[in-house]
Amino acid sequence: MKEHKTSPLVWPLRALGLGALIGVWAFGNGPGGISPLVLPTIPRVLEALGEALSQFSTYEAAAITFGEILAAFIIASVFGLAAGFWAARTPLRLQVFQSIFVWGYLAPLILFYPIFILSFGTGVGSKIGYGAVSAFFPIAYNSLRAFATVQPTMLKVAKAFGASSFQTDFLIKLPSALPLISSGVRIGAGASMITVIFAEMLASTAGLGYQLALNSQTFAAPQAFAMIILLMALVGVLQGLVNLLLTPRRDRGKIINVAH
Amino acid sequence: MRMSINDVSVTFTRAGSTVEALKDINLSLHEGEFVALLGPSGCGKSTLLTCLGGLMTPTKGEIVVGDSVVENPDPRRAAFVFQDYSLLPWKNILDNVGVGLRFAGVGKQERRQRSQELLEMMGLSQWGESHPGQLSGGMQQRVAVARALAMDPSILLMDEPFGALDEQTRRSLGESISTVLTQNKQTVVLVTHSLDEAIYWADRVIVMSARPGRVMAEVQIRQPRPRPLEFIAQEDFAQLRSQLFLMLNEAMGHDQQANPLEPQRA
Repeated sequence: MKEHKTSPLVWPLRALGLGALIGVWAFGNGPGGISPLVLPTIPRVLEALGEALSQFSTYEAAAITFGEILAAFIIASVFGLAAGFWAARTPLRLQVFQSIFVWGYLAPLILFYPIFILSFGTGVGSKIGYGAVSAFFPIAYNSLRAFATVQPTMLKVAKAFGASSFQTDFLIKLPSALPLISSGVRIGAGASMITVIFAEMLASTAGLGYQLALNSQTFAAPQAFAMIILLMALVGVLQGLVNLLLTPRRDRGKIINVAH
Repeated sequence: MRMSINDVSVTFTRAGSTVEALKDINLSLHEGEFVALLGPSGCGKSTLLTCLGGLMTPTKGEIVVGDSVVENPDPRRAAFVFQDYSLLPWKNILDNVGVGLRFAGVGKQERRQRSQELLEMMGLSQWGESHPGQLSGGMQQRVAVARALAMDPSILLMDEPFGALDEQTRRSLGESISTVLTQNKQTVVLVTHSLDEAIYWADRVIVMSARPGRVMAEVQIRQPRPRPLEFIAQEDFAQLRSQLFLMLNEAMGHDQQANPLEPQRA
């Protein structure tokens, strides 16, 4: 792995990208001739965002969405990690469960969302359940692969230096498997965010996703855009937390190029 | 501690066919002796070392250390230094040196103190907080030796420890580690392909035949240890090298004029 210093061009280029987006937006509102019902003006969206931020109900909705995503992510992480670890313990389990986890990872689980609605109703239960199941499979699959592919030399060291079975699992296998597990957990975090917000938009009574769907259906475009901005900010915060959790302390603040 | 290898044979099945790796090995190792196992590729040197450390059970025969038969690995009895270093990349150097002590339940403070002492002995005291990826191959191998010495083993088992290093590093590392091992007075078994390494390090060189591995000959090296690098340039060294070269040639089933270091032709 090779470390790179952060280039001084990074932030100016990011600002340029944001500027270009605002420019395209403004062009769409003006010479582009896009209806304000589809693309509201930037000042109107900022006004709606200010209004939303001044209302307690917005924070309540954000807390519900945040809580649903967090609960789904934690449930999926705990069960996914445990399932991957358990399934990788014997060759038979590995052969049986690897295909099942891959299937769950790649299958369009949205097909099963009505079952979650029927089982848990339209409240937070169905969002947490659906989000947890969607995030479980990538976490379980990556954990299984991680534990199944621990380098034999690491296991040889454990055996030669007298590690017990428990020490081999927790002091050798787990840290050795951590990079691949982290990839699965990152994918799982993304999956839980997408599925919970999507589920709120499809059938719900609360949350920012529900507010976004409601505003879209009532042609309140500025309010809908304000909700999109709030959801983007919420997802950014969650991604930041996941990154903080999964990046080893010594690597924080570094840009690592794994291709080298 | 004295080690006896009594009628040891190892047979295993690979891809459906039976392979006889070792046959009727009988050897005795004295306390504090440095023995090098030399032989052609695939003659079972590493398999024998694996059995000596309890990582593999012989199909026939037994290995006795002191009064007990070797059945399982015990790093306090025999600790390994592997060719590929096998350091744990997520742990710093101090923790790598102390990993066997941690498995043995030694407290953190004692572990770190012992590891620091060994790093100082190996000339790596300033690298304790670094990670293996930040060290050169030679430095990593010194850490692997320190990790084995941390267990204060009766026997040190070294499986081609310098195989992955360049010639210059092998020589300088060989000299420094040889001094440390002589001071520690451990029994050492070294597996090597290198004639020079075997003569420079060992009190006794065991030449093994091609598969199935048997003990073909033993050569005593009478020069006292630790040996200076200049020993390699002496006449005695050249004579021993020539003698072992011919033995190795014979071990591979070649005539005495052929070069045993060239690959075998079908």
